[in-house]
Amino acid sequence: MKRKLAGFLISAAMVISLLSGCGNEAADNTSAPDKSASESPAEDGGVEDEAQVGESAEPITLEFWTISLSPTFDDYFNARFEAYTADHPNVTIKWVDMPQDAINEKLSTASASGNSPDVVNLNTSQALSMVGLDALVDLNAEATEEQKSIYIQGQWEACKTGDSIWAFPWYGTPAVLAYNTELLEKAGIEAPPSTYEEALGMAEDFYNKTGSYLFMPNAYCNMLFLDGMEIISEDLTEVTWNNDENKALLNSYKELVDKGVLPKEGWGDWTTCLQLYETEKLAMISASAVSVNRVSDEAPDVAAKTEVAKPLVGKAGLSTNPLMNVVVPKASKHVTEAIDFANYITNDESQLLFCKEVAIFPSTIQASQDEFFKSDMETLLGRATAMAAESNLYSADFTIGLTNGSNYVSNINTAGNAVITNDEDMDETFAVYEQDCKDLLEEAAGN
Amino acid sequence: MGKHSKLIARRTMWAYLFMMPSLILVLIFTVYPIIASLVITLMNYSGGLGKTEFVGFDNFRKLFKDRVFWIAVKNSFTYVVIVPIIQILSILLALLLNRKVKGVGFFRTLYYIPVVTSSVATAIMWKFLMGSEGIINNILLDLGIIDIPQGFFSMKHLALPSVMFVTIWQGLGYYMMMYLAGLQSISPEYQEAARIDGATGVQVFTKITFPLLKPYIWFCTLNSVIAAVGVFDVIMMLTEGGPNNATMVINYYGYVKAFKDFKFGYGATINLCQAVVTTAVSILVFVYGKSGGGMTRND
Repeated sequence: MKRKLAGFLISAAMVISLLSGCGNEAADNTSAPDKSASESPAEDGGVEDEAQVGESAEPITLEFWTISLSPTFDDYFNARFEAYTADHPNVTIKWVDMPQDAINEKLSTASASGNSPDVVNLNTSQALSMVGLDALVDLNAEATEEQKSIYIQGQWEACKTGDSIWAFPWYGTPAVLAYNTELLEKAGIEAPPSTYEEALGMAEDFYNKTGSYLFMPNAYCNMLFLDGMEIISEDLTEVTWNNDENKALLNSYKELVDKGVLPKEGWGDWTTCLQLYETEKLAMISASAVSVNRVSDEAPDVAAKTEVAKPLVGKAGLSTNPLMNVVVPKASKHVTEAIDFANYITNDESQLLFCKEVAIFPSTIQASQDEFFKSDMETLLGRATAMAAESNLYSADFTIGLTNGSNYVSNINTAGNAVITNDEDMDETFAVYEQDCKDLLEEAAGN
Repeated sequence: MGKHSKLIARRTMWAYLFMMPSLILVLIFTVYPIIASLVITLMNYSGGLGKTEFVGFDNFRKLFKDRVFWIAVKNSFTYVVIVPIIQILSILLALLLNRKVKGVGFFRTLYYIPVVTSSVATAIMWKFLMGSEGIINNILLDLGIIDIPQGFFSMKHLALPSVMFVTIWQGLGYYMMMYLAGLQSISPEYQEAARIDGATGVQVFTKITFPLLKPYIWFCTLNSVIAAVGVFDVIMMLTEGGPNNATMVINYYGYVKAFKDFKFGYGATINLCQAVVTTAVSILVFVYGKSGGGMTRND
């Protein structure tokens, strides 16, 4: 009898200990959704204890999520938090850092459990997908004119749908062109091409002389964007990319791919580009300044032959600039304070200081014109930084202002990929993916 | 008699009390999620974001018109082709390793290593080996078997066979061990007696070993079919359903809809269909097993 009772109690204790790990609402720190979340930055970085409350305002905690910025930038962020909380003594900042592919899911889970963060770092397509779920605050309506006026216009409108703008732009990584001087010399080219059209014209001759590819084409939808081609109607209700001009553009690349003088796979894939460049199978890459620095670390012999130039542009005269943004979820319990903090972390001062830590570029007007970006012309990274600062002004984060825009873009890229990599019939393939895009527009209209 | 009944009742009560903790766990973590997911199939549900509303059978109507869903169903059924391949190879491996020779333990361990290797490590390794610039392409080019590098995971006609190959590679060791256990459970006296009676090696295998191995074959086949229809990790790590949905399978499609597009209701609908398909295929295997396919031993 005693043995049976003991056995039952042990079993029950095991079950209780298993269940106790589920859903603990007790303390602030356990509400962070990711085990890899860095709580030490918030604890180490001079963040004020809630006991040190301001004179009149109610003490609040603002939870700030970022993507893969800790522990590399702990010092920077802790200093910014200190400066903010010195001016706002009732505010405690809780910083949570997590991987990019986890953030949307964790945001959904946190919101469902009533523990939404207050300010979240997302890229543009992630932010737009959250808009489709009615999860974000419209900053165009809620932020003050003073808060909105500091941003470069094109980058301020990156997360725009209709008249609403859903994010403060944060930092960007405008592209520069890195090229192998030795390979270009071997092909008899004095200066790298400045446009994709020019590069396309040189590609066959270059391959025949060097055995390496001149450049890696962009993903098909990016190609259309850079050349200012039709992708979607202005009112975002009609699919317009399936047309003869776009097919002709793709065919011009396909001819060279079929001859073997342009890569068949990896279009727009940074990892493939870097791998080919570092093994001297590719002569030019479009990359951010910080990515160019990777060549110095991973292939110093190739880095010694590398120079930088203005990035290749399409017929629209634009180059790409993928942006990071900060958004304020609707489920935040302190929307006004969250908007204030989001604007602070993306203002001129904060962004310029951040840019001095790493080769990224600000989205604010004043900071982007700072002399700092042209202060080092001796090193490869310094020259890349100066070049990127210049291209920042004529670059754009390519997105379609649709909540399922990333799926729309993906369909176009998949159609292009099917024709190039798998030799599928262009008309049939485009018709199939055009229909998929139409279904997406219907879905977006229903949201 | 009365005392006997009381004893049985008390023992039964204790049995249920001991089972209760596990039953509670099963109810919370298995039964409740299944019921909840059935409810979610009737809703437009985006997790904690956006509005949640009852939509009836809209998700099912949408599913049957979904081009990618039918591609996923076709690919999931195609994936079942690996089942006979993996079972035959595992049996052959088990026969080879069912010997008392020096070093056989080393080989058993070697074949089992892929089973315990993480999916992420497996994917990185095979992407490196089978990429356009990978070792396999280089060897095939040097041998003159191919003229241009093949994109094993990026070409539509090669992608699905390539991921199926990786699944076979990863699962071989597991089934080999199952069959090894089965072979070692067969009394050697049967085989000795057969040899004494003049049976050849092939006859010993087909008349003695194989029939006695049938229960293991049935069990491994059932497991393998369920795993094939529900394949997820190799698809996610190697191809993400591409290129052009060539490797899209039902399980991964449900994940994409739920966790990337935040359409949990639609994702649950897709996975409900997967459960139906898995059940249907499992029933077929059961029926085969009951009709002498190994569900009961043939003595």
